[in-house]
Amino acid sequence: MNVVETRGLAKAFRGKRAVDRFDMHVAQGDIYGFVGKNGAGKSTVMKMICGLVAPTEGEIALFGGTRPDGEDSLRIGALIEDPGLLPNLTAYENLMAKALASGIVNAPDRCVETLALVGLGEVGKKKVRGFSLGMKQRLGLALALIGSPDLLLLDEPLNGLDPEGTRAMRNLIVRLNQSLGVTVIISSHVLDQLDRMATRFGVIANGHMVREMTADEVQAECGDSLRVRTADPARTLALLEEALPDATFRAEPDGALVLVGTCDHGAVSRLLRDTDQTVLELSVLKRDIEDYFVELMEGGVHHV
Amino acid sequence: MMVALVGLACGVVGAGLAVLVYERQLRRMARNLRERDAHSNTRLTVEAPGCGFAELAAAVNRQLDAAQEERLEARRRQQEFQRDLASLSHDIRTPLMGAKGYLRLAQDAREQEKDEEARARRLRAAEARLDDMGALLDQLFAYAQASDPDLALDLRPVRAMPLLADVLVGQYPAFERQGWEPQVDFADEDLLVEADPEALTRIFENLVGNALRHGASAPTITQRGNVVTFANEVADPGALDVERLFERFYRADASRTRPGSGLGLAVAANLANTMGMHLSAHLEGHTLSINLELPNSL
Amino acid sequence: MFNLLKSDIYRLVHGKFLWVGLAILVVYVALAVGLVWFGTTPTFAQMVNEQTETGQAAEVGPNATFRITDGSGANLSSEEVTSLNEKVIPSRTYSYAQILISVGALTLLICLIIGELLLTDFEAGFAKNIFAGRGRRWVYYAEKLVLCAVVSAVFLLIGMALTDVGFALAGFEHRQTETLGEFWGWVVLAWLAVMMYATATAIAVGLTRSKAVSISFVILVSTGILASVVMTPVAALAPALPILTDLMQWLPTSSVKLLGSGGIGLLSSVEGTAVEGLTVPAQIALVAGVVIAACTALAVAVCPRKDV
Repeated sequence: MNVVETRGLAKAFRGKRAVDRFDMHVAQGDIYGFVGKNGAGKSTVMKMICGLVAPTEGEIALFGGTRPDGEDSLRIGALIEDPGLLPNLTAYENLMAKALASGIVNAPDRCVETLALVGLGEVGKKKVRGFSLGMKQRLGLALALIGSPDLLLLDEPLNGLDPEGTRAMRNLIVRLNQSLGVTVIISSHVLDQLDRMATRFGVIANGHMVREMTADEVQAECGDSLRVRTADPARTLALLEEALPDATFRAEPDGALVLVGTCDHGAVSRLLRDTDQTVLELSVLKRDIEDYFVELMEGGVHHV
Repeated sequence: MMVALVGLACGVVGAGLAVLVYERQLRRMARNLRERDAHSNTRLTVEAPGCGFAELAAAVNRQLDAAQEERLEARRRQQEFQRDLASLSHDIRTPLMGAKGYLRLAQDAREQEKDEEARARRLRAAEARLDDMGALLDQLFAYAQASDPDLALDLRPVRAMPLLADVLVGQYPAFERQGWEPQVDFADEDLLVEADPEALTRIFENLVGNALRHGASAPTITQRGNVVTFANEVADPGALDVERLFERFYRADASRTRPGSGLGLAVAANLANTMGMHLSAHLEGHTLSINLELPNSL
Repeated sequence: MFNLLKSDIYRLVHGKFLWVGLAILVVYVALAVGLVWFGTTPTFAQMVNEQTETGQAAEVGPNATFRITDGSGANLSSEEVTSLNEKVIPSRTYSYAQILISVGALTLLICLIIGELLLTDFEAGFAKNIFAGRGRRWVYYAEKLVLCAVVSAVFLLIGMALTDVGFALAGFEHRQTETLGEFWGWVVLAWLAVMMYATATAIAVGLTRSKAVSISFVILVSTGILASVVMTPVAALAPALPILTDLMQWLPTSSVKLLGSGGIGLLSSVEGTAVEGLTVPAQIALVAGVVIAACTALAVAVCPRKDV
């Protein structure tokens, strides 16, 4: 079942189309990495999905589209742009305000639980005004989680978090996804973190969805390269070029050779042995996922 | 008079409204329960005032929580099972690959007409690997049998000491190889136990075998009251987790370099439980003591 | 809707604004009662007597004098002077009207509190959390109007209680006592009048979501400054265009003025109303009703269309 499916979604602000012909498919149980440059329309799309902004055109089907709108209000939790916090109340009071508004039973217990879950169990009576950015992000996440949602929309959740906090939030997201089956849509610039978490990617550029692919497909398209370091690099290079005329080589400053693109690693290894090359290093390199995505974000250069 | 009438009218209207609100809330709750996704995380919420609704919703939510917990538990067990299968296949693959390797080497030797000695050595090594694998599969079968909920045991009064003596005698060659002499100290040498003799023998075998394979000194077997204790020294007490000793596939040596399936103690624990006995382990300094609590009846 | 109400009340109770507002109310009532009480003290009477006898203004400071006059600026006659010394107020509702309603103090407080609550919702972005996933936005706005009604009622009742306590402590008596119907009739009308302004503030914030607009609205409209500003040119033009005078009668401020004399006889009075023969309660109810209905319509139809 597709938890989120949009068809031809569009939004125009004062004549300018911020989102245009946008199609998205998020399957149940995905951690969907939503990638795009600043101003590409990520936040707008997420706001439309959770109903904060009404689309100009197109349609959005949530949870397989079976239930009428408004009946599923608790199933979606969102942290979009800045976490909407009431500055003069404490963290607990903020959560209680939302819990009461949503009609959650046993609100006080649930609030304490959720605060502990995001690591804010110890803040006590401190007003939100005095929170650091990281703590505010965490409280925003708690507000999104208080209704036990099935779909979580997170807009740049790792912004402003220190490495410890980043790891904690990433672990929390993965745990929610794996044990409770929460589908998560995360938009982020920090591709490195997304790479470790996401099961599916969607790239948006100029309000249009450029590519949607699974994590495996990304790995396959990114491609590996083989790094060879021998005692006699020049000779090795010559031998390899002779034997594999179609492959692309690159000489590194430290004397290693990088074979770009797919090649038969076994063949290379056998060749090195047969020609009596002393192999110092033979390893597989993964292409930088960031480069790959930046290319896509730049406006949809197609990689077939 | 007017005031009274107005008051009455307000009262009636108020009551009517209350009924409507209650009806709506109940219908809404029913609809939510009917139409909700079975795997959803969301729980019932209340819209109308009144403690009654909150209590009802809380009770229903508790049930939903319990159902979800069960589902998660089942999934955890399934994942554990997958992991165990994976580690088992690893344990089988390694000796199998080793045996294959040695056979190939042996073949090479014959083709190149190297010495017989080397070829014979390699064939023996291959056979040893296959024996290892066989032992592992035996253990696995024993474990499957021991955890079989329909396992039929033949419980009757048997003397514990003679069974133990048989097991020790059976392992005599192994003890001799190690240069160890096991100590047996039974307070009541005629102790009668209500047990299946084969199962009890298997328990003793596994405990003695474990001491032989992983201990650092000769085991001491003592009996006081209804507890039989197998004690022996261990080389590295820090690597042992006594809480997990009886888990299937648990091995203190995590890198799996030494032979052993990790199932021996698990089998013993299962058999003991089925017969109403209990196995537990304690670590004091360098000494590991495994206690077998026998049932009280005799 | 009930849940949103619970949440808003929780926020009010745990926040600062409500309690500050209540404190201000207490202080204000105390001061107002105190001032009235001072008017009955011998010192004050002496000042008035001196003024009447000597015809000169009393000296307060080196260069300041002050003169006590009646409503139209003329000097007081001796009967009026004696009447000032008595510790008597016409009626309970009169006291409420003078202290709470006519000056617009209560209205101002309530509008400030409601305005602040709504504004924080949008400025801090908390409204995002409420709206996310929800299908029916109009419930949110409708609930805010209900909140206006609740807060108005609560503050009105507290204000009334404080005024009663204050005058009782100062030893005042009431010349007339209203019937139950008159009393509660006046209270309901006063409530409607205050609610009128509160809902207007709520809608103003809900539509514009701007701090500047909200604060200006509260200050100008709720206190009646805007009305005064409008009335002055109108009064000047009135002789030329009599219809303007009639229109002015329909303004909310006029309704508030009608309440100013208290509840005695109010229910059947036809004095000072816009149209001949229209009773005072009817006019107040009509004006308030129109404003509140308009706000509700806006709340349900227009506000939900705006994105968060």
